[in-house]
Amino acid sequence: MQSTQIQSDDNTSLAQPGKYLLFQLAGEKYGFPILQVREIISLESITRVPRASKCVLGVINLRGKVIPVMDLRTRFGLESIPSTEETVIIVLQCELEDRLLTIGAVVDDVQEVALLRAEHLSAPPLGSQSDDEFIIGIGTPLEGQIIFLLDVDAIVRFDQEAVLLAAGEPPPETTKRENP
Amino acid sequence: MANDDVRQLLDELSSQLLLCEVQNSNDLQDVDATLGRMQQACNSVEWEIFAGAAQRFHERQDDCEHLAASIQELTLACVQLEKHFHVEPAKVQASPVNEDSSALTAESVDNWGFDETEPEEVRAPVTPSFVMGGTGDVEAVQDIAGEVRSVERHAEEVENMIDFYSEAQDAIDQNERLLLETQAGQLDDKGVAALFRAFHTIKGVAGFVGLTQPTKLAHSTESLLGGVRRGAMVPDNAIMDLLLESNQCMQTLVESVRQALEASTSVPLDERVDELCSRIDAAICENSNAPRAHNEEFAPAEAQVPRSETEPRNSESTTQRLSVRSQGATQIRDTLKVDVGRVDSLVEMVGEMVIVESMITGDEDLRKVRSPKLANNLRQMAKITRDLQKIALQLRMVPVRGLFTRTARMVRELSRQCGKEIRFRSEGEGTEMDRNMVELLSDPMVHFIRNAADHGIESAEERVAAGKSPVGSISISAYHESSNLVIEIADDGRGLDAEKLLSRGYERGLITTGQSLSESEAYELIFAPGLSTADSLTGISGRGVGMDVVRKNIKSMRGRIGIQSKPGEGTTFRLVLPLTLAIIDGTLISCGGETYILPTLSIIESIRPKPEMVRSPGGRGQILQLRGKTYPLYRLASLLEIPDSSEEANEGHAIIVESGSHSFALQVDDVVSQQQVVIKGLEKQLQSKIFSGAAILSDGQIGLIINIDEIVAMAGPIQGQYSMRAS
Repeated sequence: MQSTQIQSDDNTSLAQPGKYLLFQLAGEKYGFPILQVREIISLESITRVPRASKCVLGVINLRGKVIPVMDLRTRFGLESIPSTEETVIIVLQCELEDRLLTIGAVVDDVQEVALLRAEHLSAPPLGSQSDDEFIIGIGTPLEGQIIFLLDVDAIVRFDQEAVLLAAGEPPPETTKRENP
Repeated sequence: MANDDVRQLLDELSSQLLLCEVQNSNDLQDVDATLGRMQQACNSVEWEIFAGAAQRFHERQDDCEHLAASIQELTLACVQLEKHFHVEPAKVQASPVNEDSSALTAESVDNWGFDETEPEEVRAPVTPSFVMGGTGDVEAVQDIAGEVRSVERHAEEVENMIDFYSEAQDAIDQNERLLLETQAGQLDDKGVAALFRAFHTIKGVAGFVGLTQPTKLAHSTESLLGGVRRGAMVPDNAIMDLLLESNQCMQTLVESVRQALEASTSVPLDERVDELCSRIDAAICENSNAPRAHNEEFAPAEAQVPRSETEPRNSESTTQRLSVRSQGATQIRDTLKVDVGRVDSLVEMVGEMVIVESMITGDEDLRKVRSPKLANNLRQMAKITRDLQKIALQLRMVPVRGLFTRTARMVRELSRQCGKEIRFRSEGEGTEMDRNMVELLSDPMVHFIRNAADHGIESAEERVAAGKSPVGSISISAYHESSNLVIEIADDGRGLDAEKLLSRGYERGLITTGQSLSESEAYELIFAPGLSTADSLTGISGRGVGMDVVRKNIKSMRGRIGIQSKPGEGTTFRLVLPLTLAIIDGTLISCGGETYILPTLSIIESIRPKPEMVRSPGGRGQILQLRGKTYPLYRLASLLEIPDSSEEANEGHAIIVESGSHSFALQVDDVVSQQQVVIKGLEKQLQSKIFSGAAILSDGQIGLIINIDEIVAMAGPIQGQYSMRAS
């Protein structure tokens, strides 16, 4: 499968040439590798999950499967905004710890599918702050256009300590143990 | 007609598919139009990938539910077609044949990149050169062909091994049952024949797949059984033990085959096999050489017909034995071995169908339609769905027999190790339970039985002194009670010592002095980690680890453990387990505008508290008083950190739930209903231990299933301690 090919190439941690689904988030253009995008659905009712990670909006019923939905704005440390007509959920699929994970990401607006050839790609800028760990490349298919290409695996790996610490909330089991 | 067109259309189509919304008919028409254009532009081979998906898409345009699936299908077809364009040449490049192949291939690979060349013309030479190439390639191709064959051979071998594993496993299980049921010296010809057949099967299959050790062991055991069958040997205790040991050794061998298969390594050799075989051989020699000299008293018995009436008849001819065999065989029902994964997905699909069915039958618009025919059909559908659900759940059910057989074997071993004579009884072996739960239950059973045999049952002298029979007894029984499975493990030993448990509890700081516990609460202490009533550590038990494991496993199955014990008369553990792990009886509650599910099994009762029942001493937490008992009262909303709609404690409902030994009250806005729900796992990404899963409710919304144990842990110790002092 091609999707595994892309993931296994991730150790180079650079974006590969191919097709990307472009979307908008807080005025910037981003791209997900198309092979990791399962579908795009309209924003429907999300069931809140109390005390989950901050960037998790809740869970949705995707044709009988319960999948988590994250707010990509919160995930990137941006301010979240009320949804608009254009707000959609991109359903992503990736392999995490040998399991197939399906997860929804709320974005401001989806735009198009673009083919990015090798000559359009460049490495992510070094030394930039915050969300550069998700960015695995920059695409410039046209003069002056900048697309940040994202690493789906890194984005969905928000269950780790870093995020919990960032949320300022120690995991619940520690509190339990410390007060016998 | 150029391939460029197709590729351009493909690009267009895939972006349309991704952006298309099911509700938007313009989007759908666009997709359909593009599909039409593609059909014209593609050649027949390329279109084949699409044809089915496109057709279905076209048909389903008004059918929102299935359309999404069709779009998904089309997207996949796009990806496939894309591969058809891009990936194929990459394969050629990667293949070793390419290294020494002609320049033509290399050149054509370059042409096959993303650039707009004429792939149609290039393709013709590329494919043949990959397969046949020049004469220099022929050898390389042959090499690959050889490799492919060896891989195929290996796959076949693995297949055979898997067959061996399942056949041998069945045979071993049967043997074990038979051997344990049979008292020494009572092994009749039918039993011997069954054992012989089972070992023979193992020998045959093992020989076929080339496993030497199982073959050897089976062969030796067969000879031993042959001796018994011929009457050259009497199946006394020693022989029975030998047979059991050989069966157990076979089990280990088969297990190692399974492990080797899973790790795809070679099967390791077990040195015990040789030793066991030589012991069996020795036993055969000893018995067959001089049976009369060894036990004089048996010689006449063997000659006498009355000892075993069936013996001479059976040895008359093999045909007779065959008829006995076929009679026995008719009792075994025909079974079909199916991949567990398939059954699981079937059960899951049926679960979804049940939800959709209740969505349809409960549909408001549909209810307005006054049609007896529709109503009838809906009822029919509801009935069929229920039946289907029942059948689907039964698919995963297995009798507890296997578990009980293992337990029987353990009692036998333990009674020897502890030097106590213990009789084992089991009841309700045919009772069925979810296959996945059998595994989870097997560890707890080990601990229960060990405890019963080691601590529960007294030594023969003690028993006689207490006026009991010197032979102890352990019994297990299984039965269904409402929608639960109950397993009882009872011994007739000395019973639990509540005083001793309490003093150990104080020693370990599990309870504080002055705290008064009821008898059953004291018994619960045996589940505390590290607590043991055994004064000394034996090889069998006494570390106090076991019962903790028991509690964890039972909890993970959403089960409960009840303990009844009478000093001097024995202890009974009663496990109440759900019938299946896939579905639970849920109580739907609302809280802060959302619906949550509480497992009904952990609910004791639900009340509407009157204001005077709720106290908040010192403003630190609340206490609910009910019929003389007090419970700490928690607001579910504040535990979940969601906005609370009922400000007053006396509003809404208080649900008294039980987690392990404590019970507490949860205050919720409302109790909605009770229904069976199909549990769906939650992704780890949600980081939410307080929910054990989710379920899709009849309106299509999601209800989160609350994990009572985590909720109580989260409620914090301060309130908990306070309430204890108050009680």
